[in-house]
Amino acid sequence: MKPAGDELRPDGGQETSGYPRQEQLIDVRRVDRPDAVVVAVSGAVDVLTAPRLRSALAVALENLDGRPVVVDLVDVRFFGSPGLRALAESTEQAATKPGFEPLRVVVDSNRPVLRPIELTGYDAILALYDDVEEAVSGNPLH
Amino acid sequence: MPPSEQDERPGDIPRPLPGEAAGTPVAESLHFELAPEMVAPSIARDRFDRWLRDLRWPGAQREDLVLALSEAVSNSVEHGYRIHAGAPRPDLGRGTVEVLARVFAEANGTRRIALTVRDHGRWREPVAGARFRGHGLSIIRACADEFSIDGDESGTTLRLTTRGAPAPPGAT
Repeated sequence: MKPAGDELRPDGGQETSGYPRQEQLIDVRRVDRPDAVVVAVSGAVDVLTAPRLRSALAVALENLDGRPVVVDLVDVRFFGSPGLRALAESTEQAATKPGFEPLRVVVDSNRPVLRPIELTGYDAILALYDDVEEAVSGNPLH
Repeated sequence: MPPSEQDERPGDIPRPLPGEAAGTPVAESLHFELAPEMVAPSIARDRFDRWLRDLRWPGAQREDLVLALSEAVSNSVEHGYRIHAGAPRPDLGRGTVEVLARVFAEANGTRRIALTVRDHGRWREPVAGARFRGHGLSIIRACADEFSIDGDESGTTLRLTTRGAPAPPGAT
């Protein structure tokens, strides 16, 4: 059954084929604000679910109209290398746009996300923030 | 209700680690095999995490080990068996991803885990153009004390040994 309010999840609806929704382990929501496009993720980002993060970011990056894209990962409880790959590919997509800037990623002190980012040196290519409002205003604290 | 291998009897619920004599391998081990599906890493994470909690493994190291196992199982699924989202599933025969974890206690009470992940596929180096791959192995290496990968015609075996963890509270 499709979830009600599907329009609140404009992530392309690209679930990995062959698995029911409850095994997707992830929830991805896009919030269009006047000052930013926020993609908020909760759950586990792994090889099964990362394609949904990637497609949500791809849609967001095509509809920015000069706004920054903010990726809120504070509620993510697992983040593996496929998630890093999704962020890297999205950064590369963003780099083709005029006025390129790094993805603004909200992690706060959420260790399950911070740890793989730091282990792989991704903190060098991502702008990390403590909360969404800081990310929208664009003053990284890290 | 159909029987399930995951049924748990009350006797299997968390028990304290016995205060083993010096150098004795601790009895508890974890062993399971998974079908090489995209959902395999999440199943492996859940089981390993529960086992580590039963052992009262320190939290930060527990998270690192669960991350390392997830990356190892992902590698077996993606590179060993070449399962990819949206791609037709190749004929795998009876291929599985096998996970084995054992705890060892050293003379001073320090505990280590030897973790083995084995598949029966053949890993392929990431093809040119498939960028941003290979971080999985970097993560595994960073989370382990010792780490090796051996591959041959019959499959690929990844082995790691964790850094030491103190004896659990209450065990002397």
